[in-house]
Amino acid sequence: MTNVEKTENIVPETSNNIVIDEKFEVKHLDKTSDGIEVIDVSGDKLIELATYLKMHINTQFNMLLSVSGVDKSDCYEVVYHLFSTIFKKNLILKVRLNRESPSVESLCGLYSAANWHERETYDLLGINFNNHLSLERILLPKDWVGHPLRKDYVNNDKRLSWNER
Amino acid sequence: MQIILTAVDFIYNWGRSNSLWPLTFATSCCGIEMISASAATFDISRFGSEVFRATPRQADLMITAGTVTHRMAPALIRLYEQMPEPKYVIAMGACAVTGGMFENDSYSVVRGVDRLVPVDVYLPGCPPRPEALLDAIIKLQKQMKTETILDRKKYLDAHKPRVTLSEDENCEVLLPNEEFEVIHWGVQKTGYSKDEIATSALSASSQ
Repeated sequence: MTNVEKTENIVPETSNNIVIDEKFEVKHLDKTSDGIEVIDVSGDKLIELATYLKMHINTQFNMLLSVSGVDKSDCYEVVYHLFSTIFKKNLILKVRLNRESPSVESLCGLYSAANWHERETYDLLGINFNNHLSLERILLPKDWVGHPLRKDYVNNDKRLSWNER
Repeated sequence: MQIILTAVDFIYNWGRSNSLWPLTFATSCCGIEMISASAATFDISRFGSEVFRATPRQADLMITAGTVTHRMAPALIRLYEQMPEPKYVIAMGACAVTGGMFENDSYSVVRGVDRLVPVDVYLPGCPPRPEALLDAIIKLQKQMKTETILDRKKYLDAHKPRVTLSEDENCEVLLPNEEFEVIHWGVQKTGYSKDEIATSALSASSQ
């Protein structure tokens, strides 16, 4: 593990890494209250950036903690929490998607943990993950109508009349 | 004849009520209280219910301990239907009685298991203490001791699930049973039109 100590000394702050900034056209947002860097990236560049962050020796974000979605009224936002078990460092990626047809490339091939998290995000927010292995509902019955965590969701399914308040 | 039946009923009910075998059906935190009731401190075996069965085929009593969601509801109904007659249900905890804190706005929680299956004892609390569960079991035993074999037909008619699974395998949402309409606290609230449900099912499958 002596290698680790060496690389830890030379690893730059990810937010200051010029390579990432230029190559992937990212935008740095404010850090969270506990000092985790937040990076805004466009949907086209997401898979390249995630591959870079996972594979590059100076970053090695080899663990995906969670995938979640936010409905921001004017757009949808998908949030990825990455963690490097080598450097003990967190990183947050945010992707903004348009309201009409929110879709983003799936990270299934890169992180197997993304599979169920992306299914949940699809289930509750209706965000489509392209090239996902089996993008179907995970928490709700498969013929459920609508995506409940959207701001404009209204449940008027007549089949559920037995469960009205 | 009546005297003989009374004697038979007495022995039959005594045997049944003192060997109520519950089904292990713990869906959230009430399950911890149920486990606690079966452990040494509270000792549910004093009332003959210590044999928690992991299969519905050998259980008489379903203690629905916890929140039931739309996703869980088909499993609950299937387990209930697999239990042999006569069978009983205790709705344990606020979520199983009315939906609890999820009753107002939740899209996913069933507002009380009495909308799915008939309930014999309602046990409120969030979660109820193990003593309360023991009290519910004693109340159920007292109720069982008043029953008679002559009413068995009536009993079987009343103990049907109130919603049904669709025959279409692509339909996982539970549909209202035609014999029952919308039920809340054992009372029918408003009716529904079969056509409305059919059209909404069609639109769901087309999406």
